[in-house]
Amino acid sequence: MQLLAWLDALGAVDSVPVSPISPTAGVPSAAPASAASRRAALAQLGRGALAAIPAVGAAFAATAGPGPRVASIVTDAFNLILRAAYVQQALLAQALARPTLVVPAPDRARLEAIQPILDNLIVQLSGSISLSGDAVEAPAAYDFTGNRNVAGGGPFSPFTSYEDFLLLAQVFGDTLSRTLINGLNTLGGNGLFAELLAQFLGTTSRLAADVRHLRAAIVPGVQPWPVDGDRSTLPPFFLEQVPAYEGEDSAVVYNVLDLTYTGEAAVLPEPLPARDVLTAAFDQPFPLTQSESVPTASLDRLLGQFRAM
Amino acid sequence: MNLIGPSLLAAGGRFAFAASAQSGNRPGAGVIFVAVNQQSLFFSADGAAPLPRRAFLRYAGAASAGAALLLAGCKDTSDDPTNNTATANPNGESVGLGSGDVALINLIQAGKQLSVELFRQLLLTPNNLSLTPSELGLLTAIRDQQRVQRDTLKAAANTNRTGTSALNIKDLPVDFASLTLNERTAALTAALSHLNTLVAGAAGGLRYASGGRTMTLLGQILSVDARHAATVARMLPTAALTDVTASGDARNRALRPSETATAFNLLITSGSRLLTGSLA
Repeated sequence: MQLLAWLDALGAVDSVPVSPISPTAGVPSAAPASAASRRAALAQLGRGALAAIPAVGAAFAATAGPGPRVASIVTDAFNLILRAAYVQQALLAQALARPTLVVPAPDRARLEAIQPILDNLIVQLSGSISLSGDAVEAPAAYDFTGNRNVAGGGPFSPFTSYEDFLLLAQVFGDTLSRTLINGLNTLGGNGLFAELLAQFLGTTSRLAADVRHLRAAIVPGVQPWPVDGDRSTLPPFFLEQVPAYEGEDSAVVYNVLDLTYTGEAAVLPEPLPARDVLTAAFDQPFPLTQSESVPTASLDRLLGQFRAM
Repeated sequence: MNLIGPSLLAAGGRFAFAASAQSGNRPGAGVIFVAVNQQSLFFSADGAAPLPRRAFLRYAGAASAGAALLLAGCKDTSDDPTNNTATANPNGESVGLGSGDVALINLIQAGKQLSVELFRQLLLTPNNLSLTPSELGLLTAIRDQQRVQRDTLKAAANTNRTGTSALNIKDLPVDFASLTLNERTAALTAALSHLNTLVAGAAGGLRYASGGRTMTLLGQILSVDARHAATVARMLPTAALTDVTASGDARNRALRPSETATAFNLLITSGSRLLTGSLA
């Protein structure tokens, strides 16, 4: 029942009537409100969520039918996105509240405009997870110096150095967008959730670009989008110790299209653009380990460094 | 060849297909083989042979990983006069988008064709736009990235084809008569508007995608388009930080595919516009 309530709640805020894009699409529609449409949405949820399970899991699901795990896979994805959103929200809130951090007035106005949007994202994510009946992950205590310690002592000083602050805001902002792309892969086949995550992605990537614009004013070479893993504009910490843009330098998209191929197998016509252009043209999701449906390991490595123990 | 297309083997009334499991950045990982009865929901000739819910759910999880590929592997009906994409055509328009995930890919590809040409023309007279060197560099980068995205989407559509002719839309002749591209504010506003349509179109279109790979690809592009939009917005004095329907809402606007196609058609020469009759 909780799952149906979740779908109903999502459907209630959804004003777009749904029909397949074409008769040959063969995909059941997810429509709001009615019992029939709830059943359709449930069926689609089951299909979409189960699609995220790797081969062994899918085979099991085919014989065992849906269970509590169906909801959990969806909420795993939502909770991971929430985790990424919490970090960015906390960084901005704490930094902008500190008198020790000198922020130019136009930049402050921009950053303060981002805050309520992040707050709303967290409200919507939390609300969706709550309605599913699964637990909403609580925000952690953070050490934004990057030392995993409530006493701080790490390599960053985001509450006194505006450059450090913008570096972390860039990394966390991009991480949020990339986690949303991972979520789309996880929810493949479920229209309701996919559209919702895509809408969030449209907003978070604008905000991430905006933070990058602010950083570009003080760090030469920063672009509004990640370029080749951002090697030229990141400190060694985020390149070696904690690889913040793991997988972002990939030129493989659609899982199978390698943009760097030339000749007969080329995806792109000659002349092949520079690698910077290729990698900038696509934001990449975080890589998954063999057993993962959501990129928990990558996010734990990155965000765990800023979690106070 | 680096394109791994679907392997579709007809065997009597059943299909066996190989699909790469949805696996993020693990190309080729977890190949699964699934047999599905042709009379199931996914393959019903009339599209309306419902299964009991429990039975559907049992099949759905296993089948969905390959559903997009399988659907894409079905016959390309874009040249078929009975195909709905070719029937609702009161104005003599000619460009059908195909069906299923390929239709979405082609819809966004159409938008990319327009944006490449829009930024190309915009950059023909940078002095008229009073662009700073930094702005010129950013707009040039956007044009180049839009071009890569356009060509990648063409390749993605071809990955899904099984016939001998490309399942791609043609090169669309643009009609920018309604735009003012030689004055800074008007030109940048037009560019921002188009980028916003691309983002909203991909967001709304993803509701109808059935494959994780398609979702990921369009999400990757949507994300960069949003960055492009934010970049152009910063060049305008009063542009908004986001493109949402309600102030403070974290959700970007979403357009239905038919709305997106209609918006694109305003910039395409009559006679070569996108057919919208069967789009949601």
